[in-house]
Amino acid sequence: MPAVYKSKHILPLVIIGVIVAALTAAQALLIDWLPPATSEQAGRTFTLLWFLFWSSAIFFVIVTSVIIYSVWKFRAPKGDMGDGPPIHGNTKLEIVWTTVPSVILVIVAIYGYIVLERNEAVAADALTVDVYAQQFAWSYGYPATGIQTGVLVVPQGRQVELHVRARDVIHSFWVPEFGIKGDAVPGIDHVLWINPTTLGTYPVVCSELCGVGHGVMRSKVEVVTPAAFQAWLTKSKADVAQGTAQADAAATAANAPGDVAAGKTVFEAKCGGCHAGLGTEAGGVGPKLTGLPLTLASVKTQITNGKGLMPGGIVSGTDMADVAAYVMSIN
Amino acid sequence: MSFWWRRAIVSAVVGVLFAFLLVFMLRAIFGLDPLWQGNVVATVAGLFGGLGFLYGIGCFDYWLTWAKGRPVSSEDHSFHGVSNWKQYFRINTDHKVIGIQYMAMTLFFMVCGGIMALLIRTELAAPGQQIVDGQAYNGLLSMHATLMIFVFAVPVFGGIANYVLPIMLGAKDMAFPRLNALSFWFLPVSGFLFLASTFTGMFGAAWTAYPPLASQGTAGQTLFELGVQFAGASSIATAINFLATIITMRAPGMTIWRMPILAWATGVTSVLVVFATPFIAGSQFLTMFDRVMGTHFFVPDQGGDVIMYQHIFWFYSHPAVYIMLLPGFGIISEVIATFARKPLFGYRAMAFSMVAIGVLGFGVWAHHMFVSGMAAWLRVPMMITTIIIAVPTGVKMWSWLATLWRGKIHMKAPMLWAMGFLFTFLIGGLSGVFNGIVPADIQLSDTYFITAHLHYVLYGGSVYTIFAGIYYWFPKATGKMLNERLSQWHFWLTFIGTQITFMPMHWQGLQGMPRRVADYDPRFAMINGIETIGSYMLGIATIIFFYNVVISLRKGDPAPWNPWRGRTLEWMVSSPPPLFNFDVIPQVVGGPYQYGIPDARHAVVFAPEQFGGELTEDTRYPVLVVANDTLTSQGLIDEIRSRNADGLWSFEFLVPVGDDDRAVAERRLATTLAILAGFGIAATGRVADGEVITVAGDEGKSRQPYEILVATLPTASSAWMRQDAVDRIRKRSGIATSHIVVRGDDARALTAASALPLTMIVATDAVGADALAAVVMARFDAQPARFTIICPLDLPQPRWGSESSEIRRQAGERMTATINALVSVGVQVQGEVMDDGPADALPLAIDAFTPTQILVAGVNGEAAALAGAANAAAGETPVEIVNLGAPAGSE
Repeated sequence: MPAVYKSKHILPLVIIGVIVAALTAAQALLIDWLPPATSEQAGRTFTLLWFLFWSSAIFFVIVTSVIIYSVWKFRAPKGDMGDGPPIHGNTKLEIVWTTVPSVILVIVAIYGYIVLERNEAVAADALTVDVYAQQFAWSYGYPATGIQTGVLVVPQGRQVELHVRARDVIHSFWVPEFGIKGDAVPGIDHVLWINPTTLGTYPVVCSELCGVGHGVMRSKVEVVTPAAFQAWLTKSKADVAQGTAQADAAATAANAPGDVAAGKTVFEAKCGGCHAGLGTEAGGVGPKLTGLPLTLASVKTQITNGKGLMPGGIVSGTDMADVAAYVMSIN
Repeated sequence: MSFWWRRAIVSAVVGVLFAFLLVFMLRAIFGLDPLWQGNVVATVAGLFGGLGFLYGIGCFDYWLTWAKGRPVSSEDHSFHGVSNWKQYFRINTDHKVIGIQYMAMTLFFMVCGGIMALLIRTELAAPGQQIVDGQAYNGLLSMHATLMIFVFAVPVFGGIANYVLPIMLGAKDMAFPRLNALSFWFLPVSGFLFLASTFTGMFGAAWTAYPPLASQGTAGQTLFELGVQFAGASSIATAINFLATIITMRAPGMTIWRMPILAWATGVTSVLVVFATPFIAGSQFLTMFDRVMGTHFFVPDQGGDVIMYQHIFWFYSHPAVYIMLLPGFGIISEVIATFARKPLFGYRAMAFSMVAIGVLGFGVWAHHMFVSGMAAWLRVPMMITTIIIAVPTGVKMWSWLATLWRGKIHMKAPMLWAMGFLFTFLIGGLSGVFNGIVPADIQLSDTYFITAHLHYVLYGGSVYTIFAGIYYWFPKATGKMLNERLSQWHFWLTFIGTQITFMPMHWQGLQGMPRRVADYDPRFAMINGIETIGSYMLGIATIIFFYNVVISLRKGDPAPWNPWRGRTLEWMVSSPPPLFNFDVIPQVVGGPYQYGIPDARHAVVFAPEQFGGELTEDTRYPVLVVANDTLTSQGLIDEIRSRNADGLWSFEFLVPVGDDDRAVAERRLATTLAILAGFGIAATGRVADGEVITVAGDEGKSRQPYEILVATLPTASSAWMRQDAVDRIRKRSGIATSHIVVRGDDARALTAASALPLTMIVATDAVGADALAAVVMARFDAQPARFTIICPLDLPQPRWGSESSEIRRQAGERMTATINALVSVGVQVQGEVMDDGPADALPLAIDAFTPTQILVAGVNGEAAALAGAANAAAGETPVEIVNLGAPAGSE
């Protein structure tokens, strides 16, 4: 094997290596591999991913080039029945190829550890939000405000501390653009930290198989300016207060005849994930809602209590009346 | 239907009915409501039905007879070996039959799992719903993974090792043949339970079956939990069997450092199986108790702990990854050493790195759980162990590359798969490092990046290595060669299909597509469509493979004992091997990969004792060597020498002359036999009139040799190959026929490594005379020898002058004429014209050629002058003088 150092094989091997390296680099640079990083955590993690990529590219290029070169150059001529040289090993070389990758791996691990520590550094002014996962919907609660929403709203530039919990089976809270993921596990309060940096709306994806509706278990996170967040908070608090005062009114509203057009809009947002084609097609998680023996009362009961895979209480109050009216209209 | 299958079906049905009765009775007695509880019935019925089937097929008969106190005969081999294909469908204790049963069964489940995969890819071909709804989709993905892991990738290596390992170790069978049969028959029960869940509502919680989701499942989930128990029992029983075989049944001289690497791989894997498999059994028992008996192991609001399940599950399932990889590493090591014609680089480092992977494999399980919400501090230690385990894996990769380096690589089908493995597994290994680093894994976990990673690891590390093994040992197991062209198609379609299907998944995962979803964001539409096309390529490739197997079994070329010229023991027995592998256990005398070391031997195969000791000429297996133009060539001689090192063969030459001169062929044959005799190889031979195909084909048919070797010049310059001689001889004789190609210049040159006596002829004016050629021919016919003709010229000064040049030119022409005349009649001769006079030139020439005899040939009395110089230079070499009379060119 020391023949490598002095041999005629070096130059062609290096040329193949350069070509493979160029192709590797080209696909790395020309393809848009990662979503935009919109949190401090994602920024660090994505840089780490690129560092991992370039470190492993070294090994990829070496191994691939040696394979290509060997298959090309050391191919036995047709009819050559001879054997290669009886080389059984080379201790020096074996020490080198054990040590060098070990050192690189140690560097990678240390870097990974640093990123992990910094990603999970807790800020004093963190905003606490509760995340609830259930088959197949996300909901968010803001402690001490009574706010419950289906869309996560967070301020830009302030750390958010998420307490992820599950109500039935295991789910996983993931925002690809934030670079953060954590399972929602029944019986456990799983804490995640996110420092959003960029305004915008991003998907919340369930990434742990949670049953038939796993693929449609999605929601949104909105990153807004601190001022807008305060305004939203104030308004939502007021809504809650009003909502409590008008609980009876809501019950009345639920019994009031609903508006089909408004119901359709609400249905699209809240129910369309499972009931395909606005409730007129089969094949979603939930059944087709046409041609069933439904009454207005039975629809409302099911919306309130849930049944089977369908959780109860997805819509309430006027919305429930409207949705029920819409369901009866297509039925 | 045979007696055994009727009994198996009856007792399985009886088992199921008994289970129904038992459940109803007990529920009625204890007043449980409802009386019909699907999960409970499925559990008990699956258990009793499975055991009933195993009893009926005959797995327990011997032990039950023994337990009843009735006489048993441990030497009763009536369930050993097969005489027709139907017997493969009943219980058998022969490791070779069980190996083939394993392969057929696991490949059947691979096809089932593959069809699931194609359905999955068809569903994902476009956004929205294509062919199945969400519930069925979850069932498909769970079933796909379950079949592929539990009844394909894990046990298939048991199949290959079952067939090959006992022979490699020089054993007559596995240590526990009846346990071996039971291990196999667990598998159909397990696979049947998985597939049966199609009719009870497929289990849809993925192969990981995390509670509480798994607890919600239908009776199908119960069948999954039960099926895993049967598959696990099969694994453990086989692993114990392998360990006992490797530890206690190695042939004499087979020290652990002389074992083929596959034995190391199987040993380490078996240790992993024995220690890890009880954990998955436990995890599935606990979930089953939760579901069937109402326990609370994994019910969070009753004090259960769902994270606990994941720890137990991965404590098996991470080592399981190595259970699915290490045997493949062993197979690849065998294949690369054989097809690169080089000793395995760093044999001991290879063995130690597998042991290291096996040990470390138990310390990394929680890297599957970085986002699971487990104790946060556990993540960093698990990251470190994960990083460490990459090092021995890397050592293996480097060692394979170093084995390739400067080898003589033959890109036959098994080697293609090995190269495909190196590339594909490399990508899987490198993306594994990404997943090992905690913050990166937090982003990548449960995305399509993981789907890509695991398929690169398992396609590369399991599927490719399995196919390398199948292509490598298929001739050994069946006695038939696979069609090489179809094999190459199978490989290239699979290789390209793999990359098209799985490469883009890295991008999808990084971009935000989670795994195990039936529907996805429309922006992933195009990439999913491409992947679906890639998966169809994989499907077509698999069809080609099975077509190849079927036609090769029906009318493939007969396989010789050692088609790949491997060195391990399985290549020193017939294809397929005899009932108990070896007539007498071989004696191992060296390492298994001694390529490039002339006359090195791995083992000595002894003849039965009544013949006494090592195989003698009469008892060696005959090989028919067919050659004419290529006789005496170094290539042919080397090939015979390397085959002779096996100690198994005797060589019979057949020289068909066709229209050529018979005397020439006889001289060449005599030379060849004399050269071989010089190496202690006793060969015989005869010259035959007639065309090569007729003569060799008929000789093969009537003599029935072990193998026919046809040596020819390269196809372009060989008259035999223009008639497609090799294939036609194979067809005519029905005997495995191999082809040795010899270069043209090699065929005419003086054989370099030869113990034949060398006669030096000293002549000046006599060179070119017909009389000289006649003398040499006569000498040769008296005793085969090599000749070198020296023509020392006493040139006039200046030697660069035109007179000298003319003399030199003429001497050269005469020399060429003599040599051509001699070579054309089959005499091995070379010649040299030297510029110095005899007094100066002869000492140099004698020193260079070290002849055994010197012959001075002269015309018109010049012989005396030459003889004086020759005698002075010759020392103790005998000198003979021949006077040829009239000078050359004077006629």
